[in-house]
Amino acid sequence: MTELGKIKLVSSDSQEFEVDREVAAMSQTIKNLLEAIEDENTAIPIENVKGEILERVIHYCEHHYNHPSPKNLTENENEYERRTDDIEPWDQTFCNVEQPILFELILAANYLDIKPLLDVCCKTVANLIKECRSPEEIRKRFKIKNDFTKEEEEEIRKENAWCLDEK
Amino acid sequence: MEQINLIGLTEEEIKQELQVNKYEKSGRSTIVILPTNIFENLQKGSFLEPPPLTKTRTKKESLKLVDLPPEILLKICEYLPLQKLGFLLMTCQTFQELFDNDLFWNIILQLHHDLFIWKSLRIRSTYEGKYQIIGELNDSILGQTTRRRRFVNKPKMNEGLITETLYYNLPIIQSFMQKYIFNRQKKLCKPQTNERMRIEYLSTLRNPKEELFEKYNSIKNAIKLKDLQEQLLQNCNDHLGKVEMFWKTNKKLFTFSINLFWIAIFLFGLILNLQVVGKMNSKHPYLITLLPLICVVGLNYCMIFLSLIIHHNKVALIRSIYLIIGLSILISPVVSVLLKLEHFISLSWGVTFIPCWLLYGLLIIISFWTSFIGLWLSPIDKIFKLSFWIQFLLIVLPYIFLIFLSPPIIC
Repeated sequence: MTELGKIKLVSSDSQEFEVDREVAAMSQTIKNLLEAIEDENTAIPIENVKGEILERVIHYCEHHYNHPSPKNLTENENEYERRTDDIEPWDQTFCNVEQPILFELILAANYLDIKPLLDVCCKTVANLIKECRSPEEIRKRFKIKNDFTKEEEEEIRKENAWCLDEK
Repeated sequence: MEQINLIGLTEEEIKQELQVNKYEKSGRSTIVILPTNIFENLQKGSFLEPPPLTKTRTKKESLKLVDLPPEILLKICEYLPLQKLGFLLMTCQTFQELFDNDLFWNIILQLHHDLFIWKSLRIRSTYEGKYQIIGELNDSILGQTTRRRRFVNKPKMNEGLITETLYYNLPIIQSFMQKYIFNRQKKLCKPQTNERMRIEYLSTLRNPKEELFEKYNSIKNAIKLKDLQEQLLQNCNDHLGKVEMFWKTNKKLFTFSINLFWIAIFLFGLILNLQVVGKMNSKHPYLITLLPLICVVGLNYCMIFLSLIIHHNKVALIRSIYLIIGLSILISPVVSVLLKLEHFISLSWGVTFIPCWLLYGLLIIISFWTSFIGLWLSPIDKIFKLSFWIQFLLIVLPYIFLIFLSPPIIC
């Protein structure tokens, strides 16, 4: 039996979390589910998200429910290159996690349809990529295996010489 | 009988194991232990179908960037500059495949409106062997409508080079190509050579439409200005025409009245001079000094009068010269008065003589100078040259004579 105004979320590894209805409704997916479910005591299964990640997501939602951030009015959706330097300090700390967790958070945010979380995580990844000065650095940072043959790599280098030229 | 356990392997690894048929070729019967789901798929015949685009991840592996679904990767790309996108593209085949995708380039086209987009398109074209398409676009930018119509009628060209996607993206590509051509025309040096130059160069990269609009406006303004100028010129001409007409019709009256006025002044000065001089001792040399002055003024007046008749358009200049000459004539009696004072006030000769001669010299210089300016500004012809030299002789020679000879005469 859940408290009044609270719902129960169940992660893929069967961990249960009690969350405020309003906090959970920050996820569009959960919001839609809540509208569909009649019985308020029904636990909502979040099958694609592990307990560890779901806990973090709930923590994020709770924080932003209690501390709503002002909408960035200057952000222009039509800007050609979107900004990545406007992440709030709390969000920066929140996203300062190991890469696998960060990617899991992205997937969870995508699945649960929490746009602010998805944005902030994508921006963090973009920042990590931006810090790299060469494809090799990206490979090293993101543990990507170079599966090109030498010839292929040479050809790709030639084709992409324009981006290597840019300082 | 050989028994091989394939449980615990990934789908890919199992497939690889089964496809090489090494168990059949070995000639021995082999028991292959498969995971249940794979076995079921094998029975259905769906196992050997092409694998899905996104890799399945085993529990052992931690999530990597390449494991993220394409839509997430594309979202991350939205925050990246093209250079970093290029880097990402060069890291592995997964990204290479992902980015060599119409959807991706469509998004990138809409996101990155800068010079590099053309380069990206070029790369894109390289992958699909579409250099010729870019070439075609390059040549046919101005004929967009015609070309589009042609594509509508004939969406698949014989060469098989144009895909539908490229066709639908054609307007965007064309706009970028337009931009590229604009920029290429401007680009005389590589922007990368110097940061400042690069910034300057990038600042010049504008939307071609904006540029065209600016050009259009400037031309429009120029036309307006030209029209205005022409109108003003017309007005001026009309006004000048009226003045000219007025001048021409009243020329004689003007000339006569001006001349009459200055003749009156001249005569007044002359009478004054003669009166003063007449009262002086006839032995005194001052009369000699007045004669050249009278001659100079008279000549000047004649010259200017001639000038007025011949070049009536220099009225203002001539009037100013009249004024100076008139003033010089008026000053000359002052000199005479000063000289006359010498007789009434018994001052020594040197006290009055030297200032008087200095004043007279100044007067002559002014007169000389005005006549010179009059000559310089008016068209020089024989008459004026002649009058100039006459004046010169009449002014300078008596002056020299007086300076050197009058004191002994007086004495």
